[in-house]
Amino acid sequence: MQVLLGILLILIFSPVIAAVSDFSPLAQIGYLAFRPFCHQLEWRSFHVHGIQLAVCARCAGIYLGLFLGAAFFIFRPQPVSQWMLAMILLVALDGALNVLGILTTPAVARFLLGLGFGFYGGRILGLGVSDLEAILKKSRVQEWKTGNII
Amino acid sequence: MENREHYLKAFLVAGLLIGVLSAIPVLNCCCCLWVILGGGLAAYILCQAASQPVKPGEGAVVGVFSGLIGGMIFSLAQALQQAINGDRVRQALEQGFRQGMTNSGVNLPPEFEQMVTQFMGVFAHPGLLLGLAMFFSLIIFGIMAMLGAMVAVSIFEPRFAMKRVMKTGTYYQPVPQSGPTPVARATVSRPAQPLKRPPETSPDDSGFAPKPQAPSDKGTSSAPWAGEPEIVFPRKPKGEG
Repeated sequence: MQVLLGILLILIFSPVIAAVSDFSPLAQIGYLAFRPFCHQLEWRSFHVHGIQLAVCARCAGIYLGLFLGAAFFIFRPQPVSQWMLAMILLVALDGALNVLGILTTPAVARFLLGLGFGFYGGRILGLGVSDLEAILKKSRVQEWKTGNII
Repeated sequence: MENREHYLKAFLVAGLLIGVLSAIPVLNCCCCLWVILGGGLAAYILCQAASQPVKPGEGAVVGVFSGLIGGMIFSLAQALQQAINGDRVRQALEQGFRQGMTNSGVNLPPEFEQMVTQFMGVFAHPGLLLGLAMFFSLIIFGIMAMLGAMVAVSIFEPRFAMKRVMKTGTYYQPVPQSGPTPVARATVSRPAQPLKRPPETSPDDSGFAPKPQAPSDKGTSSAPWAGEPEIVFPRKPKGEG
């Protein structure tokens, strides 16, 4: 899980890496990969040395939060609180208000909202993966005991 | 994995929904909304159909698989789109590469430009683009659908568990296992009768062993096992360890 989320983080920064290494197709891969999941509007995205990242500020916060939350769960495996639902509602409310034109949230606020959502989401992902590992381990032991290995 | 028989229905329905809704250009306007909702739908279907309590790990499995199926459908749709508009993508890639070279102050010789054009032709091939888009789409689809499914399990499972309790009277129903149980195997391997030492008798002239003598009345009780032969367990001789 950590590896996959790390790959996604690298992919977000792929335009910057492409500009540093003068390898333009890498940036195209990054933009192409996230196109279905993000609007990639220039005025809603972060720029590093004038180069736009592959996702918008909110999505960058979400992916960074997922990575941090999953890493946090590894060190402190605790049950997830109700704050997750609050963060989902906040992100949804912010997105809806921005789409309707009622509110224009600054990029930093959207990044922080996405970061909170992603952090709790990452902890939930960590919980699911650890529970799945426990289930698979238990079923393997059960199959070994009962002889139903195949 | 006690609700294994309900997995297929859950992630097929949800995966189809994710793939179709994400591939339609007009509807695909809410980032990962369809993917997260699709994962949630998969978990809802699982919780509704399950006869046993649904664990978070089961929700994760259903979510990941629904995301993977949705990602495959979406990637196929993208590949068709690339096959139709392949030239446009290739031109965009070429333009981006030349822009990068210009920004870095490099003047390309004409031979190298021809090589770049050939390289871009290979790179913008629908097969290669399908592979790359499919790989990254599958990762993102799987993670987001898993997230939606986990949240949905935490919301819906307590409610459906309550319905299950009201319907069946118990929270947990033991599942009959197909193979031999550990208890059955232990029963088979155990000897049917406890070990008994045979009474010391010597065959008489008829060749048959005489019946063991009944114990004397002294010191005996009228217990139902009074007539049974005495069980003598072998003892370790003195002096051994």
